[in-house]
Amino acid sequence: MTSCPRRMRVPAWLLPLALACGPRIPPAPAPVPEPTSPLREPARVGPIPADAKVQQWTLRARLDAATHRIEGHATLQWRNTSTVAVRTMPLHLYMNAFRAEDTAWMAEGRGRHRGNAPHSAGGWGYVDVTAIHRVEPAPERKAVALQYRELPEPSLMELDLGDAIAPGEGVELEIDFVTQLPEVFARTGYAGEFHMVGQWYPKPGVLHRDGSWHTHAFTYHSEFYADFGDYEVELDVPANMVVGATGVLHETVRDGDRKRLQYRAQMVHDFAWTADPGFLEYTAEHEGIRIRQLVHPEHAFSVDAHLQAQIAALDSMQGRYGSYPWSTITIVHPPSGAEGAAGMEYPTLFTTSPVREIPGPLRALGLRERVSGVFTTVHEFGHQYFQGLLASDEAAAPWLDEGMNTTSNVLVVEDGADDDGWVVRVGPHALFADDFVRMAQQGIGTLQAIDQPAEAFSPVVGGYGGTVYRRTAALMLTLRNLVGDAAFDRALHEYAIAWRFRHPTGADLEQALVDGIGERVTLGAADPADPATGTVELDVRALLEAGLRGTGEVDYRVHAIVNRSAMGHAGWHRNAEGVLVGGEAPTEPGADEAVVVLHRAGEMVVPVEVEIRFADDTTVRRIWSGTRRTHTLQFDKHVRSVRLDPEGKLLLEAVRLDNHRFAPGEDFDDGLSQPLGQAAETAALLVLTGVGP
Amino acid sequence: MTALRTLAGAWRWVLALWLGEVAIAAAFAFALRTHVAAALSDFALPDDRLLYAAAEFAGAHPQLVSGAIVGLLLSGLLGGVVWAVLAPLVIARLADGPQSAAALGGRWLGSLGGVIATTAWHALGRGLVLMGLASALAGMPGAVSAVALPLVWGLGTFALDLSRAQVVLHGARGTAPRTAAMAWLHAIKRPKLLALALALQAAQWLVLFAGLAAVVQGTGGAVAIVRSGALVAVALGSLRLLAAISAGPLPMAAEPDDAA
Repeated sequence: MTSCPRRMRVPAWLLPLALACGPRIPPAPAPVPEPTSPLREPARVGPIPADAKVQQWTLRARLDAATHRIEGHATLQWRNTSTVAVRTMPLHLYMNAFRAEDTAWMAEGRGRHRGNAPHSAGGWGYVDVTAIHRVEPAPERKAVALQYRELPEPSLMELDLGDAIAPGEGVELEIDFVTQLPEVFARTGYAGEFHMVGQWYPKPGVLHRDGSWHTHAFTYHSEFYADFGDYEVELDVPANMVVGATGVLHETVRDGDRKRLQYRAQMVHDFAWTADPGFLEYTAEHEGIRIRQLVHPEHAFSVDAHLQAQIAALDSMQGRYGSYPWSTITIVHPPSGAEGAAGMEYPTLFTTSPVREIPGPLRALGLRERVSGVFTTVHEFGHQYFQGLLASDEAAAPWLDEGMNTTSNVLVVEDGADDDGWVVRVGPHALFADDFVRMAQQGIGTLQAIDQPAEAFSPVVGGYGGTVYRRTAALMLTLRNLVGDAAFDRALHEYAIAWRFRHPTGADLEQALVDGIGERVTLGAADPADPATGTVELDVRALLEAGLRGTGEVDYRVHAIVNRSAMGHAGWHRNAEGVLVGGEAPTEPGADEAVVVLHRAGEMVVPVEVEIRFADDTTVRRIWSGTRRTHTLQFDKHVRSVRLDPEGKLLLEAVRLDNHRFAPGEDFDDGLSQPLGQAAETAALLVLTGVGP
Repeated sequence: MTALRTLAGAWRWVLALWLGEVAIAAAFAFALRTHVAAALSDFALPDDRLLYAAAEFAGAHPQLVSGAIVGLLLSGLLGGVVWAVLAPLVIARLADGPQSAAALGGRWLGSLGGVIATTAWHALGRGLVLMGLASALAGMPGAVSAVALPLVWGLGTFALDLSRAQVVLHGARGTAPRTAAMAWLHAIKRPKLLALALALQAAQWLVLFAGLAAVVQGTGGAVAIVRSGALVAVALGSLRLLAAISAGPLPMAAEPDDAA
């Protein structure tokens, strides 16, 4: 099946062809009704910690679709859950990141994000707070104007609360603001009639129990951090807009050429929405969760692929990390021209990216992929858990959401695969999700440590994705491979259940892994020559420490295989009386002894398995602790080949082509030169046919 | 049927052309295979994940990747030059049957310059036409380009066949750009022959595509399949050339070359 992107100005003589490959729009199934409650039944939601709900929001927003401007009013009831009184409240004004060239975000991003840039000059975005009042408790309900000021970095504001808010007490604030959406190139903004409205209202920082506020300047890699709360939101939009939002819609009021939509969300830490008259709507239901997709005709052909990916992600993640607590999830497909909005998560709503259709000839050759679009859906849905539910500080510890989410994405692919879990396939050859994780380690291992705040990663240096997303996943999956799936999965499950609707830190996750797996895990008997006595053990905490805060690479290499004659005893020796005796002829030469030298080329120490294959085709496996730089193994028979990490457990090791060595003089197929030679000859014959007879 | 009989009569020529192509392709493949094997030294893939290994290898040896690309281009260039040089001989043999070596040699020498010149004009013209078409199609559905570009490429190939046949057999001036330009016109004005030529080219690509599929799928004996496919492709290409020869003398509005 072929579908072509919607294009303009097709000449008349090509019209039949253009029509033949116009957008393929699948019929929409019967709509699934809007859920009545934003949360699923209590058993699915699970226990909500008593101090988890810190905020109660009532938001009103009126969208001027022509100017892409929102007039907003917020009522925030905020509760002090710390142990100290507070007099000030810092607020995030994330949209101000796009206000000028010299904001912290723009200084790093220089007007570009993931290859996207605004198409026109002057598409600035900002949020302008026009008034903040503190409302006295009933019965007075008097509104008192408060002092506030933007900080020099305009993504932050400080609010003077007037009177102190004692521990356990709350405050009600009325906030008037105007949000100008930017032309979208970094998550939020507009493109034509498409509006993706995220991070659009002033958001307080998170007050920790010790009374410290946690806020951050919005920088290129830093994302978000906020407290849980409930939301009642009224969106006033043109009547022709199709709207998607966090939570559930419970009322629509039409008013001439406009409409007002009432949304309700519970136990979420953000509220985002989208509006576009061009959206088609597809809904489905899975285990009582309404799955809604908003998509333009050009991308409608892929709704089923995204739905299947969404269901696979739900099944895998609910099994691993507990039930998805909300009753709905909305998948937004940004249209062409709004690619900058793609691949972003918000509570119960995320944006995905398009599925790339493979040209017919390549399909005929057997090329398939599950990376474009589908993997984005798996990843962005994964954030419903890793940050949506386990609400870590994305700015302070981005690995805790991005890295753990990427780890879970690999597991989603493995769990959901009814085949061998490939993500790219060329005929019988495949790349797997863990191959992408491993591949990303090439060259970045020594660059930056994982466990750093987002602002420590400069886009100039690069490697943020490779380090925070994929090196974290490589570390976690290496740990899983070494200690066993069951122990790792159990530990991560317990972490996910314990920290639901809370703010876990990296230390919390590390402790949960150590508690669940154990401080030390026995991997097997040590090689007699190994300095590790008796058994080789994995020190889980040490591995996490080295992996998260170190910059060493994992790289092992088979340094040498020497087959030689065993040492004989012929010759002259002194006997007990000191007299030279013997003088036998030298032993007949023969290769009946082998020495294997292994080399730890990387700085990071991880135990590694070694498989030795002998000339008689028998094999033995040993475990090397890796503590020394080199390790020597000796055998009393001819060794044909040696393979390090034969099962590919060490996903932190990117360089694998020096792991499998044959002894000198052995006849072997390296596995690569022949297929590449065949491909080269075929390609040459194709070219020669093009230029020849 | 006449064309097939003619082709069967010239089977040694077809075989020689095929062997030449295979030799060029095999030499290129041998060079790459040897370099890869040397780079790997005593090491082999640690598992059956060929795509990961290929990606790791390409990352570690980018010079081999660029070398392979350059080698492929040079193979094509060499093939193009060899074919341009041999084309007068093949056309003369296909058109007029067995001849003495001296007669063939004479015709070859007499038309070689013209054939090379008209080949060069066609290369230039085809390049310009394809570039113009590609830019005109920019912004249109990919399927339009996927159909239009190969069609125009096929048209250009048949026009080149016509030009060469006119130069070798009918004394057209290969050095004149008009000979190349008129060949495009004549190709369009003979829809039946053009359709046949396009069908033969499509069959050539299809046969080689099947070989490529065999390689990708890891089919046993894939190289033999690819080489066999190349033989069939050469035979189909020779039939296409016969179609151009069958067009007979065409008004090229250019004086014959001096040698003719």
